[in-house]
Amino acid sequence: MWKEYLKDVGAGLKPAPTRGKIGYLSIHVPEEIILGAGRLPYRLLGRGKPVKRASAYLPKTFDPSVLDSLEGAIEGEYSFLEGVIVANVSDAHRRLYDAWRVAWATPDRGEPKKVFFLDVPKGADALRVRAFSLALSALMREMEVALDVRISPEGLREAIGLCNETRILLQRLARLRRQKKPPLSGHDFFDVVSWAQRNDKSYVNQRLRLILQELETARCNGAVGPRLMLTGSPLGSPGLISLIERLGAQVVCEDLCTGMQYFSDLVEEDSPEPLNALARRYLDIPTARMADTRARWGYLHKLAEEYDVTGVIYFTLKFDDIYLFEYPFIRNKFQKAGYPVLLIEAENFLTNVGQIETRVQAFTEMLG
Amino acid sequence: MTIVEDQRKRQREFFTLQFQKRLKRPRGYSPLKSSQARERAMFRLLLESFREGSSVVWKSTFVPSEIIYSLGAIPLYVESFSAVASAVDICPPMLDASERCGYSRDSCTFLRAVLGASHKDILPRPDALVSTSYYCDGDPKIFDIFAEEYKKPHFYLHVPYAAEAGWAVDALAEQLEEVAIELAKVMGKPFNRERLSEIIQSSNEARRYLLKANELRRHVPSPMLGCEAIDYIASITQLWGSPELVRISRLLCEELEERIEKGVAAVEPEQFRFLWCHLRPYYNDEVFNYLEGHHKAVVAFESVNLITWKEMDPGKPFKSLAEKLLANPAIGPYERMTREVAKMVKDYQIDGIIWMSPWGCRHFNSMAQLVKDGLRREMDVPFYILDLECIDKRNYSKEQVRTRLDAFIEVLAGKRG
Repeated sequence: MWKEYLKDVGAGLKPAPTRGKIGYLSIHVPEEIILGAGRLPYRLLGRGKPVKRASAYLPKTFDPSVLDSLEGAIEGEYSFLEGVIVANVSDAHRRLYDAWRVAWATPDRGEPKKVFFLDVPKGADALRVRAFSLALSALMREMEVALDVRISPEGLREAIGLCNETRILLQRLARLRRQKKPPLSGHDFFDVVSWAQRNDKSYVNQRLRLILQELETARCNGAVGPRLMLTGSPLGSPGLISLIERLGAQVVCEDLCTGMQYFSDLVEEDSPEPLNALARRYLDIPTARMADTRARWGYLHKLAEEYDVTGVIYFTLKFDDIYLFEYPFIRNKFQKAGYPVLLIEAENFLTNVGQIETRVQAFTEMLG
Repeated sequence: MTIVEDQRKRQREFFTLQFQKRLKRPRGYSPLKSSQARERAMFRLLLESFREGSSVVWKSTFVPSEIIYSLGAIPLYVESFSAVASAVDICPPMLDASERCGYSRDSCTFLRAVLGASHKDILPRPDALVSTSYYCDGDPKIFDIFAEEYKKPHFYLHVPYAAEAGWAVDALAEQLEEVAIELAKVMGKPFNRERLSEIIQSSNEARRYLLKANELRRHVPSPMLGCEAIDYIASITQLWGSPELVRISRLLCEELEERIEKGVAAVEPEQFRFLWCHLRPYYNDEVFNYLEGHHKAVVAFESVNLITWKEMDPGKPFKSLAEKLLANPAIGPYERMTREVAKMVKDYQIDGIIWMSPWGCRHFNSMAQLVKDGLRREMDVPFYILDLECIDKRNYSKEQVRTRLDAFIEVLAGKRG
């Protein structure tokens, strides 16, 4: 029943009739700034199809999700966007900014759209927060000029309130998965979070309240199979989660930028400097790209305990260096803490399904 | 891991022996005295970092050595350790060790070799670690992991992407000052600003000589082989701020002037002039020997020797160092690099560009096609993207590389008509 609430706005792929959409790829991009500019933030989650033309700009040995985004831009799949914000969250994203500009500037692709850039430090201490505030300020000025709008402190505060409410509601929804038998699957949860990142926030909040009303009172007896945490590279679609859950396990929490990281913390609402408050919150998101490995492990360990997981699946996209370098360290930490870990390395879409299935099956049997 | 001095001593002896073997290896050319001095200085630095009582700061590529020297510590550019290890042929076991730990073979071999060396505990131990956001994602990540493993502090510098924005210099200068003060605390001594100013002066002096050397290398025919020039990596060497670099760079200028005066060419007769972008294979000289020896196609200049920063102001050390870092054309949009490459092509009368593209280097690989296309809009210069590994000789195929280089030389010859 509750899934019906997601349907009104469809998959969120249609352009909103009254407000333009600004696309963004990374959760380190404050949605509040897009809302402050009177636009709808639209998270680009990938197409999940093979890449052909993007390889003319960027090497094949590159983060597949970035190649996928570029392919979408070249193919005109994001032509409904007024612009896109690319953040400096990895080597690949940094270069995507270049390639996307070149691709959209090609005359046969219609009127050029604006590609904005946001520099994001890998640290969250005072100096890095200040540097990020300056970068956010520069982005705002650029957006104001390009979109012919003014982003006011009041507009930002209003957007902060709206986005915080979404975060609080999603946090409540996520906490339901701590139950022995969660009222929604990992796949369903992924769908809700994706939907929340692509639709009007007021509408999302209204619908989330209805969903919570239903699920918080739902009676779910019994228990699920092995309770897993999924961590690692961004997942554009719930394909891997479905595969895991088809095999009898349940993803009860996910440390993914397309999952629980999206609503990990709130922005301080009564700060006299909303931009600084945004800078602090968006640098506090414990993604793997941040240089504070100790904080990251602390976050992951806490998550594993709170959600009572029995094992961890670490997913990395091929050539996604941040995760490829992080994996051995995090695996060792988890193993020392008593959590078995399974590594899955794959393309942006599941090509080697049979192999992954066999490995996940063996892993869940071991945990079972 | 408790390492006693006896083991450290054995490691020093091991590296001394490897260094001696390296110096005695047969070469296809007679190296300049300055090149030999540079090589000795680098090995001395490495051996010093093994010595009991030495303060060692691990640094990633663009962390200014000047700050570390000013604290009386040794800057250990750990990726250069991988290059040294590759040159003395001890890299494969280091890479194997990293792979056994779970590090992917698709990632950067410089970093993987260091990870493997750390696992085998053959690295000089750090007192502190400093990384920057440039070039790549791997550095801050593994530096933080090392910091956890060695229980030492890690300081991270965010180098603004908007290098030309008004606020970038101040934002970076503040961080550099913070790092200097924090490192001084680690070393147990107050930070000495005057000492840093002296080091900046020394760095300036070396810069003047190396700029002059770069100018001398515009001479046709080229007075220096790319094979030995590329090892100076003037843009990133950890010798910046050391008196050795002043001596080496002065000697280099003298030797180049003498060669030009006497009409000595690096390659005779010089057939083509190449610009080499990125680093080199460190496990052997075959590629350069083949180009410069067999084809008489000299590598007239290398992007890693480019000096883009202006003279620093010793009275404003942090602001100056920030400007130095931000002058790097690899920071910011690809157009900055394209602009510099185009300038090098003109300055050095380049016939063709070889853009070395190692499998695991996302930063440099990803720029290749964009720079190539950008240049094409400006000038007609053949541009070849050469897939070649810097560190891991297990992925090297001599004949394959030769075939590709032959084909590129044919293109150049055809263009000349």
